[in-house]
Amino acid sequence: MPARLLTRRRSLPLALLVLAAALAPLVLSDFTIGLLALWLPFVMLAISLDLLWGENRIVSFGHGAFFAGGGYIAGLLLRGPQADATGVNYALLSSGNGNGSTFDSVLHTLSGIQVAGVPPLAFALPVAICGLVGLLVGMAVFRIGSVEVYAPLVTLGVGVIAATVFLKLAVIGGSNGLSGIPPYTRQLAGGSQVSIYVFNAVWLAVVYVAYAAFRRSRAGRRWRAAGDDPIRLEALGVDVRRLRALGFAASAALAGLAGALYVGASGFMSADTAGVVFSVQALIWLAVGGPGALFAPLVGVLAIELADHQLSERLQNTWQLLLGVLLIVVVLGAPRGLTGLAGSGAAAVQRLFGRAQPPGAAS
Amino acid sequence: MLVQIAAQGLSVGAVLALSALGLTIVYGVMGVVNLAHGEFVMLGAYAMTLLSPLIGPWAAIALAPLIVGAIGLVVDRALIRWLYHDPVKSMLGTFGLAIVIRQLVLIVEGPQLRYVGLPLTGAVSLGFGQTFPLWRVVLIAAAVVVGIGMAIWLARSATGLKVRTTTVDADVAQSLGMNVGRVNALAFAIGTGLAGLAGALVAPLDSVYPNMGLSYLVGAFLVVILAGLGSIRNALGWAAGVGLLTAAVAVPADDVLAQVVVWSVALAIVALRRQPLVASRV
Amino acid sequence: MTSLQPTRREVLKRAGAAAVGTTAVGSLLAACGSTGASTTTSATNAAATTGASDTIKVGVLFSLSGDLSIAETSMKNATMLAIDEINARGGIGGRKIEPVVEDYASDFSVVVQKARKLVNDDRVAATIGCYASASRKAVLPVYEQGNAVLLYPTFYEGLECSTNVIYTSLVANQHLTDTTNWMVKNAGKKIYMVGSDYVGPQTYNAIVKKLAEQQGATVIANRFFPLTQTEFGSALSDIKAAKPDLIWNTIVGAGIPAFLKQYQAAGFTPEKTPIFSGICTEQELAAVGGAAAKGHWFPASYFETTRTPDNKTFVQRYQERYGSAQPTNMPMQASYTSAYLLAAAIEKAGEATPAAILNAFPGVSAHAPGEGTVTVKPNHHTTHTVSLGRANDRALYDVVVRFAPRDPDPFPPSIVPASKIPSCPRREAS
Repeated sequence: MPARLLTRRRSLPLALLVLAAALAPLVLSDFTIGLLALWLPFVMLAISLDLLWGENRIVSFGHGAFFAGGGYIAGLLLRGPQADATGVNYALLSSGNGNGSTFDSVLHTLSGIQVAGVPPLAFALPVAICGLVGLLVGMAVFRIGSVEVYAPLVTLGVGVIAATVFLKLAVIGGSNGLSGIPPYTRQLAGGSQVSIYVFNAVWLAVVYVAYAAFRRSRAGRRWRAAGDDPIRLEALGVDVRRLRALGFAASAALAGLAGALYVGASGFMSADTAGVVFSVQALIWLAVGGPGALFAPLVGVLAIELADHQLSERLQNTWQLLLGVLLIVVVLGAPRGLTGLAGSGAAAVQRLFGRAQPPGAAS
Repeated sequence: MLVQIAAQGLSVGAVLALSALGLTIVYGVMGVVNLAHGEFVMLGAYAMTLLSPLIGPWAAIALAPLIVGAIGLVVDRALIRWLYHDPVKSMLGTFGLAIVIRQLVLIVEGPQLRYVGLPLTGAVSLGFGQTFPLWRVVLIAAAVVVGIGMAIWLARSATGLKVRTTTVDADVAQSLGMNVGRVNALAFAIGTGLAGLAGALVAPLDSVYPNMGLSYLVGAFLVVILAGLGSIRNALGWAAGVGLLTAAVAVPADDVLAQVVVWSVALAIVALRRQPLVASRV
Repeated sequence: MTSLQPTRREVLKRAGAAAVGTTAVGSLLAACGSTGASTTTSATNAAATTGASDTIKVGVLFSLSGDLSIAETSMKNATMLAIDEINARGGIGGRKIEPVVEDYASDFSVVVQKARKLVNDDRVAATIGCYASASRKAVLPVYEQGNAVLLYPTFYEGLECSTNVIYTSLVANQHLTDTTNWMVKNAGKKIYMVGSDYVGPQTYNAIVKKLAEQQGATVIANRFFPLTQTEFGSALSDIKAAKPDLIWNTIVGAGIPAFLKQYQAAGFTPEKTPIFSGICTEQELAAVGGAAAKGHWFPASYFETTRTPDNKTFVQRYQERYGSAQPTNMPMQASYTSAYLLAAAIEKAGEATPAAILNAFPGVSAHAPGEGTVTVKPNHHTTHTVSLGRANDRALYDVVVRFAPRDPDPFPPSIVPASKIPSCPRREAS
């Protein structure tokens, strides 16, 4: 496998992608740029899932919980304590001063730590906390026999608990959700949609480069080996359980980071994001993209969200139906998703022109 | 109060048992984790609700599992058989199926909640001046009868033997001359039929609407996580356990708390276990 | 495993594919975002573009798919009915209303995006929309930062009064004060409360508790259930043991039919243990069926059974257009009335810019079918007349008591400690 990230094969499409991404703010309306800014953290979430699924055959039905959790933490730090009690609804009915005041002052201090208006804790804390919880879950899940079967079920449970708990916590707005979250770039660049887009795009690019590098590194190969042939790896002296737990923790941390970036663009986080429906939506992005391919998260998210944006208004319920059919078709016919299809498509075209493809030279 | 908790717990457990049974049979025989299970429960509820004004509630309850099982048979031949023995593939494929079934019902029937009345009103006396709804007793009885019936059928009948053999080793079954494809289809039909029965029995007490399946799926999974996939006896036992724990927290306190407690306890049990209760595939 | 050098042909093919791909993506995006030039999000709508055109754009923001669509589709229908009627009589000052309908699919993240689209992209003069409090809370920052107008046509718990929202339906003090007093006096002093576990029911229950206790009643329990819960056996067992005089119920949505059916199965009767609901309109009752619904109570500013000529016309027109099996209820009537209130405000203001409309609203009135005149107060809430209805075997409510009209107060002193009452209207902290 080539040691370089930028292969000849890749560099041209990559360059075009970067060019398109850079030109987008000049061509598209503010509203559309705002949509893109929302989708980029979705891509990051899909990458976190790909780390588990594409590389190690672990499917998580609970990553929405980490995404939402990260989003809540970042949202609180970005927004700071709610200065005015008007929005705190029925807590007003109690005559006490509210026991949230210690929490408020801690939050006030923490969110005050800023660099050019961006609180760095809004990234550090979600990553740390989600990673820690992910580690705990990972250690629990991978004690059980069949990882492939039990991981989805247990992560489903985690999602259910998380959604229920988030709904009850008044500090994050409870069932109202956390609203009024300002963007990270409010001081840097006035918080314009374009600045949010650029901010998220840069983060995504960094994560992508890191992910690609990881896949090519020795650690990455070991991670893949744990999925392909855990028994042999264990025989070679690697503690596969611990490795998987760590991998799950890393994935959870990345999902938390994605959530943190998301709230900066959406201004809002609600408890249902932690639930099954959103977690499965994330899996659909990845399934359509093709788990295991480097650009699958990007392709999957863009394909589905674009289609959703265009079609869901007109088709409403039928659109959801199509999504279900699409999932079935992808699972049956295109397990490597759109990227797989593109790859086979390109290979087919090349065969037409008489050039054989050497084995193992995958991009 | 203890009697109420026990009765309520068994009632909740009965519904869980009926759902979990179907899920566990399907996995045991063909290695498919059926995430559309809740949707088959929903189909059973709709079948009962729509048929009841036409042929009466009891006939509707009897017919619903057959209808849902027939649908299951078709679904198996069309989709499920490409997903055998592949957990990840089957989870995703059946989730797509769940979306499709749900949306079809939504489009055809609309999002409104449906109404069907109780076939049996009235209550039984539990002593101490406490009463318990008669229909819930029917639920418990149904779960027990079906559970025992399934166990006997599997143990004694010829087809049951084929199913058990296929569960243990499909290749061996095939080499012994059994038509494994037919066994799989039958198992899926039974699994979905059981789900349909659960839905039909629950419809008079519950609200019937397209999205109702999700909570039944989640409940069934809870039992299955604890019981391990593939053992009927475990499924029944753990279903009762979950039901009782839920009632024990919910009756004196709060249903929200009950949900959190039950899930946390379940995950803790799973985490602390050295190995799964039942040897599962792979 | 070395990779062969790609030929020029191969590179061109891949580049071509990438270019086609990027162009396709780009044009798809451009197509969906093509509503005029880019603008900054925080621009005020002061010199709005609505001045010169000959239609007035009004946003209509409801869930037309998903769980909440059961309630909200009819609200959107009622709004459209009113808009069509207004346009049929010539529009507002000669300009027709152009509705911009958005579906937020019961998803509170989507509602924020749709609100942004309406406010920043479509530059609507005002929006009529939202049902659940969570959706209103989610979009509040959008309307406040954009200095836009939202007409909120759903009864709600109060404890809020935004400068940018006109609350066109009941607020808790109107909905609950006289009802609670009547309830305690006529049904009994021992109250068992149930509700769905989110802010609306929680606040409603807290308010009723305070009001009831002021009347000498006791609240023996206050139970909440997850929104998707349809298994109420545990709670009903507890209620059986507690033997209350009445049940105060704020369960919403899918839980309602299940609760009422299981209540019946458990042997309760409305004569001995009546249920007074805070959130159970004719729409919810339709799913329960007359047999299980009969005998239970609900206070509202509108009932379908009201036999005034204007209500008969309203019901008739709605059912002609949307189906005769469709009940009409309070949020629908409020949505309908909101369009008329908006029209009156625009006429009073003389222009269709959000800032002018907001200034014009206090004092504006409109006729609400089956209720009477509804006026917007300086605190951005509306006056209403509340009646108490009892369900009959057709799953509709018959009016039993009609209370005197009550002014809206989102921060009633009997409930909120004086130190926490803000002045109204006010902006949320942004």
